[in-house]
Amino acid sequence: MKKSQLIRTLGLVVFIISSSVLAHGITQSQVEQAIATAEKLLIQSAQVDHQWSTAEPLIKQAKKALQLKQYENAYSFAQKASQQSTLALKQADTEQANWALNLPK
Amino acid sequence: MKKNTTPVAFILLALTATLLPGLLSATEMTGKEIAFDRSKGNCLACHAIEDGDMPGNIGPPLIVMKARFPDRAALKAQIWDATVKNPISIMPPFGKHEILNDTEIEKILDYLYTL
Amino acid sequence: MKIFLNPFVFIALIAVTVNVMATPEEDKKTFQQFYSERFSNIDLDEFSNGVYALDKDARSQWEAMSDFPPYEDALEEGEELFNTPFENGNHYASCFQNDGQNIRQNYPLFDTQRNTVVTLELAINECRIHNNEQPLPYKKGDIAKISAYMASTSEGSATNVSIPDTKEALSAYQAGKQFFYTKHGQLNFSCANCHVQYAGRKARSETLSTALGQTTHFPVYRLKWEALGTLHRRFDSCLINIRATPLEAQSETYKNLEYFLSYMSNGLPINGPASRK
Repeated sequence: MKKSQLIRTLGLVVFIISSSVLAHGITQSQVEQAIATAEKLLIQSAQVDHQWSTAEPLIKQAKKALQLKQYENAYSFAQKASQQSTLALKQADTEQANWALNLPK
Repeated sequence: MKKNTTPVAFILLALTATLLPGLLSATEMTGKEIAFDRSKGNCLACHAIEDGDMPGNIGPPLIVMKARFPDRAALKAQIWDATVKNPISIMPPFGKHEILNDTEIEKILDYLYTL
Repeated sequence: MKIFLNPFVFIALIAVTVNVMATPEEDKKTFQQFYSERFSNIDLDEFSNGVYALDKDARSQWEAMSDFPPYEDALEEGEELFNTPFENGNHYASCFQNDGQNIRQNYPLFDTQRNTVVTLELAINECRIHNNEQPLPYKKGDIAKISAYMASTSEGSATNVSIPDTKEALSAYQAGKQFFYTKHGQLNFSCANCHVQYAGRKARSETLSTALGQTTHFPVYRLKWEALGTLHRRFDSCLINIRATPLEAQSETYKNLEYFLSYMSNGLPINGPASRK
């Protein structure tokens, strides 16, 4: 095993151990709540015609991880999904004024 | 012994691959690779870059970056959110919209300063 | 609201307030003038040819292909479908003015009874429903073929979209206009970013088309699709590219966008169906 490979493998081990430790901090119901929030925000962004295509796949990944009981992972996907839709809603808000700057003069 | 370590390594790898795809790709890809990758920076869509095939011409060619952006923070700010300077900028706000993470943007910056 | 603190934005906002409030007719004038100034060597009618008005190399390839257009069979099928009677014996022609011939240029129109935009594809399906037939799926297939045939009977007629002087028609137009200039998707593009501000430039090796003339040649045979598709299908492709979730075909938003975009091309000749990359 090359030195770099060894370092990488060690890094992975440390990462997995630390993430499994962290996983104990997230409960199933917290994940479910996070997914529900992400879904709510996704619908809100669609209601203003600003849904991003990045959000829904993250929710799917979160649900898949939840099924596998990878709670920390699922939680992180759900939060990322929420963040994408939150940014989409922010975009909708900013563009309420900003769009007019695009007009040809 | 060898029989035992292989599956362990494999499981570790598989676990990591499912757990941390974003992180793994970010750590393994070079700045140039992130810049060229169509699903990452996709800089060539708009900018000509040395070595890049069929670049677009929406933005300026990425040359003599050190002279054009002596301040690294200013270049990072432009990649992070170009709409701060120009609210209708066509350049995607890579940082603000989490298209790329901070590590990836820093790697792109390192690469850009070699141009 | 922080955005208003930016002096650039503030000044620009004052400067554009006039344009925000402009009438559709004023908008159209500014819009067409913008392109004729930027591409001063190109005749207005030429914009109906999309990127092939701008890109000479692509044009010669495209013209070579036009000798045997890839949509030829679909167009013939469209004519056959159009002329085939429904089970009740009625024809599509019975639903349209002038028996459906040479009317493409008037669509989309605004229905002041229902206060909504009616696209040609919507009118085709409403004709079917009216005659007790199942509506066709939008975006591709038979509806695109029928629409292609109907467009072909309007070849050369000038786009003639009208906006009735009602609050509702104007607000449909305004909604389409706002959508066109609004940034969408994770990549944060407005339609105008590519098709107004950077029209004629290249994204990778693809020339960005002008928004002017974009509606005249639909439905389009896209080499990428290997089939005809409607304008709303094309909207989907743009939105997917900027990482936005596509909207429903014939949704109010898409219809309003089509209404605005078609009005901007008023006066340009209908030349659909056409082939595009």
